[in-house]
Amino acid sequence: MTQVPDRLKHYAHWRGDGIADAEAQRLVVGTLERLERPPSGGRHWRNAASALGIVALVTGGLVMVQLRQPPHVTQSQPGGTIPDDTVTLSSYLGLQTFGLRNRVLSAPATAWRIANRVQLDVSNRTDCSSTVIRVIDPLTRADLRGPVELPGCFDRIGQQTLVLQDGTVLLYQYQVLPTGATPLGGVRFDWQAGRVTQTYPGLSVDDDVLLAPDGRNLYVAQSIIIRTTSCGEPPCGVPRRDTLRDTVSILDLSTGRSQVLFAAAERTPWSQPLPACSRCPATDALSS
Amino acid sequence: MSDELEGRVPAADREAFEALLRKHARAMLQFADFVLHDRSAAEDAVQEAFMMAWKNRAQLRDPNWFGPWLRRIVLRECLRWRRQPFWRMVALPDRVIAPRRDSADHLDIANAVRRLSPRLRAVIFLHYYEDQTLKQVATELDIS
Repeated sequence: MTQVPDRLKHYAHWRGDGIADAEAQRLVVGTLERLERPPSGGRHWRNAASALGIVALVTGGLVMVQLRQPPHVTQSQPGGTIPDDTVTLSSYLGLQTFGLRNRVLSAPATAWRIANRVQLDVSNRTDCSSTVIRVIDPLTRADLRGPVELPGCFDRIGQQTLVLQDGTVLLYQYQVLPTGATPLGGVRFDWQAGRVTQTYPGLSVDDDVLLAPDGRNLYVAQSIIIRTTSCGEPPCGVPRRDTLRDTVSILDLSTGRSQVLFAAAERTPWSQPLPACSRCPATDALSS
Repeated sequence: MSDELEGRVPAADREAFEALLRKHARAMLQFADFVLHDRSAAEDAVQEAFMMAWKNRAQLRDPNWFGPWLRRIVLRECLRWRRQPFWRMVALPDRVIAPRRDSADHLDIANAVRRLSPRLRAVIFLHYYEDQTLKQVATELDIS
């Protein structure tokens, strides 16, 4: 059995190595941009406005609920109007089912479970040069088949490991290069043969996927953040405006061809757009 | 190279400061992410720490200690972040950050780490990720 210090070390490396340098460099760019701005209380005002907005929404919502409530209605019994459904929750503990009516929360189950008493054990090397995939019995941790070493890192797509109709599983493959994490897309992994049998370059780890009832197609929901820059190519460019494009596609699992079924209108997400810059901040920094 | 570069900070050289931030940025984000176990909060804390570092750069007496000095600021910002009033916690994020899922192999250890205080998480990260001795960790975090 692995000792706690080893596991802590492994966990710390796994978590730390999941952060690409490009993500951190973006914070530096953000900091430099903030330093260029004249001091103002903009952020605090924005936060205060957000808080006030939420208070107003909640208050308004409560008033609306009260206005719509018919008079002399007695409180319904607990569970009376709650559907007798079970939902699957994903938390850092794993997947847990929750009964809405009986309020019973199941014990967490690993999201790497692919069949009854069959689980993938995916160990990415810290430098992401290769990954060892084992197929184990989750109760005994005994190997059900020999370990397989594949190049790059692997992860799931979606909350739970997706098992395809032929028993293979859909995984996500990526590499870590000096420039940061590089996605390679989805792969169909035949865990019984221990090899990748097909690749789907367009798939991303952040996609929500659903296997079509016929088992031959995959529905893929993607939210793509599009960044426009005002100062040319990275690392010089600073995001001037972010827009989200939501699409739903259908992917033919046998051919790998994808067709967009629905594309939502672009919208500016979350925050106010960053102000446009007239000069490249990296150049500014060098010249100041 | 490193010492030369870090030696330029007290001169308020912005170019050197940027280079230092770029050099240490990933390590600081990794550290904050482990302390907070929340990527979005970690990014906010690190960026605030960078701003604080710029404002207080004159306090850095030995420029060769930029890394540990910055890390203390990051830790302070992480601890401060956990005490944020609710209206800052609900402020809209600047971008969507996909949470990194804990793999099955790490579920129980991740759960155990989450139960620790942020300071202890900081110790674990420096000891097990940065391979610092416990004495070095104590010095860097100014704890005994």
